[in-house]
Amino acid sequence: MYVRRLDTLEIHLQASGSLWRDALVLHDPETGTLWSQVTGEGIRGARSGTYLERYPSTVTTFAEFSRQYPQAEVLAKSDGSRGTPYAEYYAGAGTVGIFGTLNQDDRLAGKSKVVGLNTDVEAVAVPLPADGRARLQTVTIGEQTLIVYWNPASETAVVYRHPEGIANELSVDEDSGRIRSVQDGISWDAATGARVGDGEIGDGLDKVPFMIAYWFAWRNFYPHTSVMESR
Amino acid sequence: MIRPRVAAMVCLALLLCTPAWAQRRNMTRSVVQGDTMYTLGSPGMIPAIMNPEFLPVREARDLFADDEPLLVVQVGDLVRGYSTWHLDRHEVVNERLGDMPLAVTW
Repeated sequence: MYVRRLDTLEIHLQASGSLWRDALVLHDPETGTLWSQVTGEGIRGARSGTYLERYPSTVTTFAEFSRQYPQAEVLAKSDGSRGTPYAEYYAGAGTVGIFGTLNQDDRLAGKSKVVGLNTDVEAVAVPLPADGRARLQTVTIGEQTLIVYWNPASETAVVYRHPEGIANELSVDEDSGRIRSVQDGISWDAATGARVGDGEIGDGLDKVPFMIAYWFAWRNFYPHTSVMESR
Repeated sequence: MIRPRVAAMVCLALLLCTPAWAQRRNMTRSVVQGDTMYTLGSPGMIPAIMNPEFLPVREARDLFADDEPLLVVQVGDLVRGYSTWHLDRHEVVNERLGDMPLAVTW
């Protein structure tokens, strides 16, 4: 997810027809630049070496989305699509890339899924645990503390900035779907980041851009990435 | 099931519908930062959505499966969801939420 603006110039992005490091390359007709979809870096053309600005997004299922945001809108479908053209690729555990790409880094299995975080300081991969339990993981990158929420039951993934002035120890309550600071007596809706309880006064949690990626692909873009140990 | 899209295979559809001889003729290779870039088509061959239309979520129930994954974006009080299955067909939605111009892609 990117802001499609370069300084004051508004651009449009589309698939370029090229692939690089097993991922899409985007193209903007306004400047003719090719952009890596994964990193947002201009890799060829007028704006090479510059980066698109990221914008945070989250993932969840339609049923959860309807519950979390009853007033929201969804993109209308022109073709009634149910299912993805990439189904076979997703299903093939043995295939890590299209052009015979190998998993070059055995810290994790090639097709294990990670939450990929990229900051100015370093890239961090947070493995998604496969045991079916909701998780809240704290990740410290340089001066920043981030919290990664993953709920496999509702297939929800969100990354927040750890709120300032709040004690470090946060916990998630699976039944209520809330993130709690017991020490401060404050709760947030884990999926939306909205403050809950206490008259719902106070700021919600700030979302941070992230990407759900296959390990082999994340590592190809960020070979020096660190891997967060699963707790 | 939420699935990673980093390794999105834009060419998969092309490979499936294009005879092998044509693939060989059409695919070009170049090198970017030491890694091969494979070019199989031209910009716009997979049409991005340029003028997206939206439905209130309560009117959309018949069009979506309950477990259909959505990418969710919020700007101020505005929240929109985009089916990743649908995004897989277009790769990018050129969008504006409030006054924020966004390229929805994953």
